[in-house]
Amino acid sequence: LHFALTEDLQQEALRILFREQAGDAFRAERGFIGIIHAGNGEVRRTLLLRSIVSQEERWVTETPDGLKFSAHYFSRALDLVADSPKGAGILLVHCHPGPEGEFPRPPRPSHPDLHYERLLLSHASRALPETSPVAAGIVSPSGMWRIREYVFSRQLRAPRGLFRKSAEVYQDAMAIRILGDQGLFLQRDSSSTASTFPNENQDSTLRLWGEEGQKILANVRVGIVGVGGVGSILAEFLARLGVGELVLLDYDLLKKENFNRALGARLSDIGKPKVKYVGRVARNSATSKEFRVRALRGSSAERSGLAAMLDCDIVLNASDSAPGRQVLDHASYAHTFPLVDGGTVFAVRSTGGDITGKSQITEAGPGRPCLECSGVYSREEATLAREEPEIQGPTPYFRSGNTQTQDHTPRAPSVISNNGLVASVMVQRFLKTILGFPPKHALGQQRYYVDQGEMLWGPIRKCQDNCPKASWIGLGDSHPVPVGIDPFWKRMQNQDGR
Amino acid sequence: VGGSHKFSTLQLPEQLQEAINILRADFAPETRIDAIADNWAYVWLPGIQFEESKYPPPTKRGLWVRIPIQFPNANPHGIVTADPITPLNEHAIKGHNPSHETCKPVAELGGKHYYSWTWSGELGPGPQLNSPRDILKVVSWIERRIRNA
Repeated sequence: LHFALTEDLQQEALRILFREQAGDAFRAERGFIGIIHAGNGEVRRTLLLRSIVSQEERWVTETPDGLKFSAHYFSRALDLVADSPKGAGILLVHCHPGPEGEFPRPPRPSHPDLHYERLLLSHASRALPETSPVAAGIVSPSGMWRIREYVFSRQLRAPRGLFRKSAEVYQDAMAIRILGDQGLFLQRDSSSTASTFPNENQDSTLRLWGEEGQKILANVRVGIVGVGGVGSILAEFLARLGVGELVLLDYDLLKKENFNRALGARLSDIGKPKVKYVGRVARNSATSKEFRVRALRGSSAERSGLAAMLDCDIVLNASDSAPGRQVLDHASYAHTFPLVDGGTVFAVRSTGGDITGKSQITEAGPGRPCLECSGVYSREEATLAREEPEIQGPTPYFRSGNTQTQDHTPRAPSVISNNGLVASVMVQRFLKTILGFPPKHALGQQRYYVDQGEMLWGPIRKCQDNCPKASWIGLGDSHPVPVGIDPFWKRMQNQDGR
Repeated sequence: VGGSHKFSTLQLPEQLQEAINILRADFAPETRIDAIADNWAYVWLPGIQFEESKYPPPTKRGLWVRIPIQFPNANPHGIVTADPITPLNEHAIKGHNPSHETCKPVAELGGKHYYSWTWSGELGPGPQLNSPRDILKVVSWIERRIRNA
């Protein structure tokens, strides 16, 4: 179980729980109710904080028996759940007061904490639909969280209306993800933290970001969509940097004509799934002691491919599929994760034969403009690319990985050096997001114009006024992500007789 | 012409189900999905307006519009008709593909002519689609395309 929220909500939570108390010798205990949604990946469930329910004076009060949430406050929260998209639930949060920065560790629940949160949530859950998540949280003044999700089985209700202990199942969050426009903060339970030291392979980078930074890398799970020319380089770079886990997603097979940009591939890999050799290359290059790689054949335009990406802390997209991009664009907001997209398009002018083109690297997700508003794909491109391969004509959108299998369509040109350039900038963006590596405050899109040899920042700094994506933040599975069938992957499966 | 009422829509994405219900309530109760082929729902729209000054009778005809199951996050693409769309002046209609592969899912129900009209075709970009209710814009878009075909 993971828990995710935006930096804006984190600041709001800290303001409610600790405001006006800074400097006081004694701090009162405070609390709030949050609206949450769940997002389920293949192996990871994430609770997402969607909003904090506003409270009136004395709706949350400290009593000798602990913090008391008034019936009015619960009622307001339940009304908000009823008005939310299906799947909304509630999170009861209280603080463990103390001087600022005293508890760099996540707070630990006391016995009364556990008793009261279970009692309150068992009652609250009965007023909610059965599928609504219920959870409790504690926040320390340093902004660290402890989250526990409860599931109360209704079939096992005790005769007097209270739940028996056996009717309750709970799970503690192993990690907290706080995403703001400046980056991603990952708080991990120390029991689930990978050990990284001593590690002499990382001396040069340790001088830049220290053991703390290296630990963060060793505990991050990165999704790579598309492991062609750009994706294979990304996997190699990230493995060498000391990233703890990679999830690779691509359905394509390595072809002879891909070999000139397939980093680390052997001739014997031709005809085999790209994810297979890229997984091997990453394992051989990994500097993290507990490195793991999951190599999956699939498409991010389909539900199963998306689920694998929802297991990740950050996703790097190097696939040129417009529907795949659209799905990841939606998911990065609804499921609150950072998305870095990269691609290149080349063209040879019909007159003069000059080579022109551009590479572009774009960040999306909460606090950033979306891929659609940044012009990375259009809805029409995503629509037409959902047609059968036979019906699709040559498409004008970005092509870099060449995952297309349509034999009669001319392949888009690709050069390993440009793939390397895109991959390098994507990894810089990854380091910026995870470690605050320079350019720390830069956001949006970078473009490299092939004929000018210049890298420039794109003009888009925020989404268009009518873009709805910011309103999807924290909706998780309650947001209908436009998954469907990837016609190219389907055709390949039919050809394989899978 | 037209499909069976036996097709279950319960497995379809909720937004598409909602859009179909809106069509049934606000356009025509006989609206239905006759087939699903991968990403595409073939939605039977009865009573599409064919302008009298441009087309021979009948002025109301049924046809299938291809709505993506990702609606409203993807755009409609193309219509399928039982009979060719022939204006009074008999000029050829752009994008007409008789007996096209795309007709197959509704071929048994009489679908024989595919018109590969995109949402951003020669009439310029279609209206913005944001919610299931915007399915009603699709009906007026088709009628506009037919009027200007």
